[in-house]
Amino acid sequence: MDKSFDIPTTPIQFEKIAVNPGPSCMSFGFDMKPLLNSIKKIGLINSPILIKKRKGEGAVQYEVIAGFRRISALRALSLNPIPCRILPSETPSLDCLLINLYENLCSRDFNPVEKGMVLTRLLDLIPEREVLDTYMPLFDLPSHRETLHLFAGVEKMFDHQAKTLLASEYLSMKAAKLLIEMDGTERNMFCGYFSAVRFSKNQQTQFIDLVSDLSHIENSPVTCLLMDPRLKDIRDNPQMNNPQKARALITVLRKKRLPRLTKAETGFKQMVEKLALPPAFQIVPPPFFEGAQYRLEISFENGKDLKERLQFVANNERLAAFINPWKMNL
Amino acid sequence: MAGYPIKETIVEEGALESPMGRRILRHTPVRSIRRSLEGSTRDNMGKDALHLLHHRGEFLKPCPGTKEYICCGYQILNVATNCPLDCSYCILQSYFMNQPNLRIHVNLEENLSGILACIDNSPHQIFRVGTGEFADSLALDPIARWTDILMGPFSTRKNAVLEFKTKTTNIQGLIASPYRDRIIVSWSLNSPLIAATEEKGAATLKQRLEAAGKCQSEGFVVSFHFDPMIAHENWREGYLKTIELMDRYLNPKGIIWISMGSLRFMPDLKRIIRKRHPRSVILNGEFITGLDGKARYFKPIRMELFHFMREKLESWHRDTGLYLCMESNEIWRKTMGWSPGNSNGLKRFLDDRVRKIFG
Repeated sequence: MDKSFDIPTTPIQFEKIAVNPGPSCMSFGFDMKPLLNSIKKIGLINSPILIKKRKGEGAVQYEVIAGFRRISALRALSLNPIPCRILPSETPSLDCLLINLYENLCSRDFNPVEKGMVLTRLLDLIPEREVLDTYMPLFDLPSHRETLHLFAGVEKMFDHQAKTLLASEYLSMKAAKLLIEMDGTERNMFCGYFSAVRFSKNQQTQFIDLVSDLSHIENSPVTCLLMDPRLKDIRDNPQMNNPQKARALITVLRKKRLPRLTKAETGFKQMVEKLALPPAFQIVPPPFFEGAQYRLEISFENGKDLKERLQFVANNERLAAFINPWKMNL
Repeated sequence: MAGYPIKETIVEEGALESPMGRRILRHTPVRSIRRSLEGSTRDNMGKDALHLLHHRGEFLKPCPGTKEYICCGYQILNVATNCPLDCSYCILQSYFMNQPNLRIHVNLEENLSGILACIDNSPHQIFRVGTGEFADSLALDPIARWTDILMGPFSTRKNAVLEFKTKTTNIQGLIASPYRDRIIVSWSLNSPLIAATEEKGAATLKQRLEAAGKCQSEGFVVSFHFDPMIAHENWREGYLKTIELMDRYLNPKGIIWISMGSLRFMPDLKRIIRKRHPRSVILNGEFITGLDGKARYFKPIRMELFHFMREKLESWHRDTGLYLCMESNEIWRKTMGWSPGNSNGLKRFLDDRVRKIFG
């Protein structure tokens, strides 16, 4: 490719430009407002790049190589014609893709869906090794085959809903990795939950993990488990906010998946309640009861206060009944 | 060839300069030989591809263990990586996902003097050395002949023992060797259900124990590892059945140690297990995140497993050198009735077993 990019602009009417993004475009889930405001305020700074279609059928004669968002914004503002730079129709596909890529790289970050779009198209045009070594680092991604195919999998296997969740950060890449290995129906059902309930990133993977585990244990399809009325009722409960729904869903699943642990957690809470300690005292169990030591936290104002509180604890007869909250079947 | 079909052999540069490499190639009925790694199969982790190469790192290294749990102070002799068996729970699936093939380190012989010097330089330390951490010790022995290379030198050292840990019956090399002293032949055991359904390619429990009995009758000291123990449905009946089989084939007096460890795995392994072994039941238990970041059974479940096994094994024979692998002081005390306190304590316990059995 000629290293200089000095192409004069030509005014092109909307009607002659394809409405859909061409194969070189890589925009997904963008917010048009800032661009609209910018164009309204100071006009178009950077002219879109088009290519003349090899077979100019009908009115449409040009495909968008770079600037699809700008063209959409200009269309919305009815600013016609648009000053565009036109590439010769024989420009190789790889060059077109790289023009778009490097133009965008200079001005914005790519979301995971867009990274998947670019990498997938590059894989069609150049050897995998070159994609790994040259292009993965451009997206701050490790040059690992597994990572490359994860992003390509997003492009190939995710539907619009799943891509939208991922692009808008309502779905983490870690969760996406788990969803990619599922069939489309299962993935869609999970995405239904993730769009209805805003889980935290950790809760997303926990939710997928719990449902997948239960599916294996109960030999029941994921889709059946996700149709469970108890889960659907929580998801669709208008009285609960998002964090409450997420916590409640996880709680229901954990109870089923980890019956002994959740029973121990409940037993622990009941034992602590029975101790009737004032709010200044808190007993903290080791995570998952794995460590051997519980921790007693005491808030106090001064030494005298601490002494009194320690005395209070020492005199609490009920403490002797505090034991590990599980029963063993020895 | 020991029941494990090798479809191709990959020879890395320099590997044929080693006598071991040349010897292996001479006796390996392979369909093709490649000198390049390009296009190497990965779907089955290269379990049908023999890969001869020079090991660039240290051959003898202490087992990394973890400070959160009590570790036995084992020394790993890294003679090979990956294994033709395909156990669903195998940690090597995540360790060597990106290093496929049955890799045999053919520069072992050249490095043997250095390994032995390391042992000889610490005459007051007992080196419990094993080759079964990154590979099955005997699965490829008919090809690699580790028994020929290692038994003599280890047998003559008073501050070391060499443990061959296996799930196979490839004991021909052992039996043919004139050496017995300081050699331990070890089998991983499990319940019959787990052995039959989760240990693909391994010998049956009966075959393993028959082989162990044969080794005992040939004068070898033996050991066993119930690791990973799996809390599957009716696990008590299952593990009891295994102990009954042990009683049928073995003399408990000739056992140097029996270890017990419950299933534990790094979180990443779960995805691999689900993908490579979709019918496996091993992930069905109640797992929590342990102090070392690995998934392991909720504490009372581990306690039940170990307590039950200790009771049954001790009722078979009171002195089998029973110990726990990677467990906490608390679990030791509550299930074994005593605790070595820390990793040094466990090391001392096992070193004492070595002195007791081998003198």
